[in-house]
Amino acid sequence: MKKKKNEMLTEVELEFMNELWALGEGTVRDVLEKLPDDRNLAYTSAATILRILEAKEFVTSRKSGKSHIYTPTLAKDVYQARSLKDLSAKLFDDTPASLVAALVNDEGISEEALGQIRALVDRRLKNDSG
Amino acid sequence: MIAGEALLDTFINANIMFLLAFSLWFVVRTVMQHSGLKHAYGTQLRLLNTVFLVVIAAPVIALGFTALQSSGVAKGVSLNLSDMVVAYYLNGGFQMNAAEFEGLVHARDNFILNVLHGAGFIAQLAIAAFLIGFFIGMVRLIYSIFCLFRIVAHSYAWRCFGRVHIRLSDRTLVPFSTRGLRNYYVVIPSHMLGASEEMRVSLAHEFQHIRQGDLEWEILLEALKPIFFLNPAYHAWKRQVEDLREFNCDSAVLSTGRIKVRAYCDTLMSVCQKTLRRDRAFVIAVPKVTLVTADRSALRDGKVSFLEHRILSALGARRVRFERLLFTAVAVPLVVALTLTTLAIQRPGDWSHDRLMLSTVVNLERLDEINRLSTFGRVRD
Repeated sequence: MKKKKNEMLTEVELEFMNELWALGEGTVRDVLEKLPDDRNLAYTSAATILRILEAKEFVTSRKSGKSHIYTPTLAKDVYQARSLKDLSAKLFDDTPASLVAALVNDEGISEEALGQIRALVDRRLKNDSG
Repeated sequence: MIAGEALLDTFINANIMFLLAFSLWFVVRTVMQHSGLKHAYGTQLRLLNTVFLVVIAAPVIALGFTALQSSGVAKGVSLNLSDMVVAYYLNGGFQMNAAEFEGLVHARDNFILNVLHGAGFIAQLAIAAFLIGFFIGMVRLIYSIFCLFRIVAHSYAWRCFGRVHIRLSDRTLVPFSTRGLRNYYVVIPSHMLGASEEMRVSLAHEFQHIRQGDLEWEILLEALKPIFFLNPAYHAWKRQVEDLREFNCDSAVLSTGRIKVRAYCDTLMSVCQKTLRRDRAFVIAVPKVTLVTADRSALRDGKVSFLEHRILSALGARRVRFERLLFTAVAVPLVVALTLTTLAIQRPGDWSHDRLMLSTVVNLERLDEINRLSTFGRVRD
């Protein structure tokens, strides 16, 4: 499959990447086993998704016996940051403050989570000024 | 200038033919719908495509008839509508001032000459409207082909059967098929890898489009759109072909029995729902044949959407027997009628006896008028 660099992942690709991030590395069968039982995904479909991920340069593969072992090339937190930047640009007019405001104003968010956010912001501010 | 005149004449004839052919088709369709042949989508689509071919081939038919007549076959036969009307007039069929009638008979010739020379406001308006519309249409077509090319180029090769290439794309939410010079491309949204039933339905649907030759018709109709954009019959025609090919495709896929109606309808609704949510940019990409087209105007206007029509049709689908016989029985009279119309609307090749007579009558009337005026002059003096 030809290499095509694409910044973002589709829903099903993200599902696979999440499993690979959790596994560290794995074969098609390893990822399939991790998926919920009701997912009912064919082996060939799973192999195609991983090949697309390889074409997008999110994973690399090496041959081991008859199967390929896939390894993520991108850490989960790097993709999280990229994903948030994309969300901020597309949905929040490229102003991260609006994104955080939407998150904080969400009534479903617990006090504990809000405390954690405050601690993170305080720590970041202290580091920047220090 | 003679080539330009012939070209403009052919263009005007083609527009008249589209209007007449669509009116004729409308009558045929209404009759079919009221005689229990509503579900004969395959026959209706083939009829529509046959009629389209006759309209496109009209200049060749006219040339062929002229060649036949000049080689001595059917020499005395005149099928020209203009000649018939002149003969009817000269036989006293209706009353009208001869000069006015001649002006009416020559109106088309005058319009063609005016357009070619850019003389008069109406001719200039027609030229400007055509050039602007043609330019916009061509830009739109080229941009659409470019968008489509980009989607296909950025998709991932998945399977290949002969000339049919199946590709996966994360840039579209709607499965579609298109073609290059040699190969066919079926592009499936990559998220469908996780929805096997939707994938099966989409592939069956797109393969059926390829089998029906819908891609070639779509390309032809899109390519001619910048030329016939001013003709409402052409747009109505294209819409009709788009509707019929989807109905026929649904019916053909379901008739194999390999896909359940429920799964089919669920896929149509699921893809449409996703399109309505996100895939706005994809609407412009032509020429291609999609699984479903999101009809936002129906939501706005509260009309029954095309998707609803398709689902109702899929639920009540039944194949019509003797389709080939039915097609022949309807196509033959349709083609004959359109061929005769093609010959009837041509500009008369030379001065017929009746035209000479009409010209003589007009000249005599003019002389009479001049004499009358000069007599008056003498009396007054």
